[in-house]
Amino acid sequence: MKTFLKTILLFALLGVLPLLLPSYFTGILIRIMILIIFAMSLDLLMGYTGLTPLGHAAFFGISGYTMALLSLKIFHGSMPFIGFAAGIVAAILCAAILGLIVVRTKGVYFMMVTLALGQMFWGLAVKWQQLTGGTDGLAGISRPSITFASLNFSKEINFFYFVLVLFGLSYFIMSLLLGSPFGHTLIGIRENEKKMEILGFNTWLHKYIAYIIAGTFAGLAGMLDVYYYQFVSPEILDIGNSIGALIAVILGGSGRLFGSVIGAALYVCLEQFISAYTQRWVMVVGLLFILVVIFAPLGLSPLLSRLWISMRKPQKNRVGQ
Amino acid sequence: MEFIFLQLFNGISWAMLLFLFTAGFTLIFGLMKIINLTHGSYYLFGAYFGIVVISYAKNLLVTAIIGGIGIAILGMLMQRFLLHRYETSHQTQVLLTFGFTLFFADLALSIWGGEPKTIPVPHLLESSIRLGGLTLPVYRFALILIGLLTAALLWCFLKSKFGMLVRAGIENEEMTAGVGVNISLLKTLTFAGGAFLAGLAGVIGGPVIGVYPGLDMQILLLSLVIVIIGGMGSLKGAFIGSLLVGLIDTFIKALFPTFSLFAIFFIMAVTLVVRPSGLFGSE
Repeated sequence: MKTFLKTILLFALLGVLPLLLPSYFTGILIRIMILIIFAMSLDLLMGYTGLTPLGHAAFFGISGYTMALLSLKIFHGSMPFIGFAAGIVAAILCAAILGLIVVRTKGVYFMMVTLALGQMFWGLAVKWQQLTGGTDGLAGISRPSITFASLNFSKEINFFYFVLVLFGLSYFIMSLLLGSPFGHTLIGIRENEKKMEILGFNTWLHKYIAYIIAGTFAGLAGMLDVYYYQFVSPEILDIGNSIGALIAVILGGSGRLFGSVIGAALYVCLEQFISAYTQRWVMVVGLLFILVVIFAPLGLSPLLSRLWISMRKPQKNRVGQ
Repeated sequence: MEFIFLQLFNGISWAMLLFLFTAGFTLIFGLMKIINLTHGSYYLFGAYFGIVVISYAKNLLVTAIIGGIGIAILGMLMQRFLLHRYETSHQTQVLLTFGFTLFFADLALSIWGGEPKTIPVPHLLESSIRLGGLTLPVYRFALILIGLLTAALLWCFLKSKFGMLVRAGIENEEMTAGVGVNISLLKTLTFAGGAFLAGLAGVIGGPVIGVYPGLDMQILLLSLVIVIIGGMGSLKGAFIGSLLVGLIDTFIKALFPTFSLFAIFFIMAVTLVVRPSGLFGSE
């Protein structure tokens, strides 16, 4: 209950932030929230199930493209929530089909197959120019609005609250899921799959469902990203995008939901800060990735929490000595 | 008919280049259990390095060997100082080498820029052979020859004493070290050998496909598909897989260019469903 209240408080705080900070930060906060949803979906597989996908941007891009194409070519900006729903359905369908192939594989094979499949979608988006516009992408996608409630999300501050609500929902659902018997079974599979099988769990089905859920949330993040930029290009299917989420998870520490929050916030802030000084952001990301894997394989949040504990209980330590 | 023969010829030469690259990747995994996603960057740097060297050396063969050695040294450094510490964790290897791929890709972009570049075809191999109505460039014949030669050499190497020692070291490291074999040197040399092949492939592939940013991922991806189809760590699998992917890629590119990648991944998916560990892989 206490953690629940704390979480609510944090969300409320986040909701007030854009009112206090200059409007420049609203965009950054939106990007952080989108990356958190994406990173959480990745961590569900990476940290909780023990499967590390290297091409997670596939779902991010598929729902983004589906929504963008529907709203540009068929609905012409009207009825945005059909496009929204279609984007989610596309991500679910895609995960359900790819999952049949991918979840059969383990360990290294899983990583390689997901990397290869992810690149396939990227290649398709680049080459299928009549549909996707190739590397030029598609522009002019309008943000959704609810006409009967006269809510229009095209203004950035309104869109912020739209993302905040979806982010809050995602976080809530994820933490419910991970606290449920289903989540515990996933952790069991991560630790010892054979044992879980012997105990009578259908491990394949658990992994398959986890894969679909992860794909769904990645799709949600992708759609929000397309809404935010009002633009879609093959870049959102690129490995760079998958890597962004991977770094956010590793930076924060995989296998804990709040790690994704810390990691994503750090990543977006770093990107913002470093790209202001140098064109070589990708090089810095690569280096950062290498350094974190070598020196902080468990991420920064264990370090932070240790720091937090030692700051809160200095007295006790002294007594101990 | 002519179309089929021409594409067959192009496909086989492309397959041999892919094999040269993939052989290094799969051997490093097969013999050392290390997944090295930086292999694509080795190819890229081999090719760029070749462009620099050839302006001095003026000879493609010399350039290819120098390029290969340069990349072998790079690989040796990475294995010696970093990768050997993570021999037991595939996930760490993958993430680490993924990071290196990003780093090297941006490094190459900052040094050589975004323009595509090529390595000139050597004068000796510049001509083409006329067969019926077809004109087949000699250089591609040379590529096929080099690929076959490499396959034969690698096969002999695996059967040789050195190859046996490396395999013994993988099966039981302590025992092999116990009979007086310097395992860590053996591993570094094997890794260097794999990197050498990637660098070599980069240089001799230069006259055919050139060099440009993004080529590293493109070629790594094809070789991932090859090892998934052929089976991780199997030389035979790499050879058959290369032929399959090289031919399909060439034919589909000529017929339906939009869906070439799609077709290749479709084959990969089918293989995974039928044989999850690949055609020649072992669990």
